[in-house]
Amino acid sequence: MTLDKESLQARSGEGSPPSSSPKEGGGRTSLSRSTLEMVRERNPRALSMLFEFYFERIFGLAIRLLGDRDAAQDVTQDVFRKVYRAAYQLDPARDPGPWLMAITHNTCRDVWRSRAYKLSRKSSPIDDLAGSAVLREKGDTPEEAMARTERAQRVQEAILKLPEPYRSVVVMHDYRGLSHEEIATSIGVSYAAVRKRYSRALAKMGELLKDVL
Amino acid sequence: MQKEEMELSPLEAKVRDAVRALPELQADPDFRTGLAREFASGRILDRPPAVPKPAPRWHAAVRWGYIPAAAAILVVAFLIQNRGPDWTLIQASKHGTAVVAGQVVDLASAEARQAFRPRAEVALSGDATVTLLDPGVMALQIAPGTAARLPNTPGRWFGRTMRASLNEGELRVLTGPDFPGHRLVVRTAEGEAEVTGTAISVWRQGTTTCVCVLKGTAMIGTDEADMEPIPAGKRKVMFGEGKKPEISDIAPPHRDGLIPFVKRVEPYLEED
Repeated sequence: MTLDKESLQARSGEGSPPSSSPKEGGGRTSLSRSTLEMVRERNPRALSMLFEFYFERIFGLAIRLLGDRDAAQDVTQDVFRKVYRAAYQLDPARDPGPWLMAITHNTCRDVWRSRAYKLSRKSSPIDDLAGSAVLREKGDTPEEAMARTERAQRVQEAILKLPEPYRSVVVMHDYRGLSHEEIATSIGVSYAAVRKRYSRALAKMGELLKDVL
Repeated sequence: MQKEEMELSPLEAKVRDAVRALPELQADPDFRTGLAREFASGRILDRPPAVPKPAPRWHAAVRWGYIPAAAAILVVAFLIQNRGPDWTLIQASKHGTAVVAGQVVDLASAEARQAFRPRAEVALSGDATVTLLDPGVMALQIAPGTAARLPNTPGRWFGRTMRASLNEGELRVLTGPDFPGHRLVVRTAEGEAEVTGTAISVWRQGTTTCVCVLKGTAMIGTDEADMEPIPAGKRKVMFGEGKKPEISDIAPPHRDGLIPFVKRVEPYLEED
């Protein structure tokens, strides 16, 4: 088997710096059809490519939704376990991104519903998800970098204060870049409900963040 | 991202941009490497699920209506269980007819047993007399020429107040050993009598209501504010034209109607 150039090129977007647009995902660049066909057959190299292409998106969504690194790793592991088991269901003609985001979201929902998670949210502080390192961009002074880091931390805290249905929508839309329609399909609610949740999520976060934005 | 932007306030737009600007977070490299290897090789299936399946949620069941349906069934079952027995016809004169709930009932027929339902409108003509029983609780006699609405039978656990009304004629009531905790209110146009354990007759003709108390005490008055206890051996007469009620000794004709009634039905009430 040979991996096509398109698939390899598609990976090049990984690790790109923060921008004002959502991270890659949804119906954007994807693995090629031939690669996805091999994923269906559980070809190890194709599976590797799928992993490399989607790992950050899955882990990123999980950690933003859960606010807990260990739980996000558990979710990521379970998502890939489920993907491996259900690989034969994958439709090579379509971008698997929304499907993977749906699995990730649903697994996060299982975590939210678990007793252990509810107890841990009561007893432990939110992880420092802004990153242990200071978020520094080119030309930033140390103070600016510190402010950027603190702001990211506040934004993440505000996300975690949202009720879960709102949280999912805002993170999947603005952080992961899924369309409202893709989110509606992923989480099994109507398009109108997604838009309503998104609007309420932004309004609620606006209240929480008005002093820093 | 698809162009499906909503109209946002400046603050909401800033929130959106702030979420979009959140940096990608990196997983632990060892975790990533190990998982990649296991996924590609299929060994990931050897791992047990890290996130346990949550127990079914109650509110999902509620959403699908199982709990409301179960609750409705319980309520209906409870209401059925709460319902007291229907009136039992223990005596009816062989002559005369009754109109019960608009239907003519031959008192000598078998169907008469089923006719006297709680809250039914009853009119007796000729010399017809009917005696009804709620075993252990109460006996009620409807005298000839009476037009009345029967009381409901009391509920087992709630709804233990019974209400009857009398348009014309006479109703005789004797309460039984299981009556305590129940209430019977007999209303006429002129007033009402509240029975809480007694033998009384309520008689009405024209615009006059007379309540005679043979045993125990009954609360009698023209309205709720006027209720007063009337002891055994006394009667209270209420008039419809603004005339003041009168209290005097029990009227002999009513006493003479009550005594045989009590004698006749007491064994039925006691035996239950």
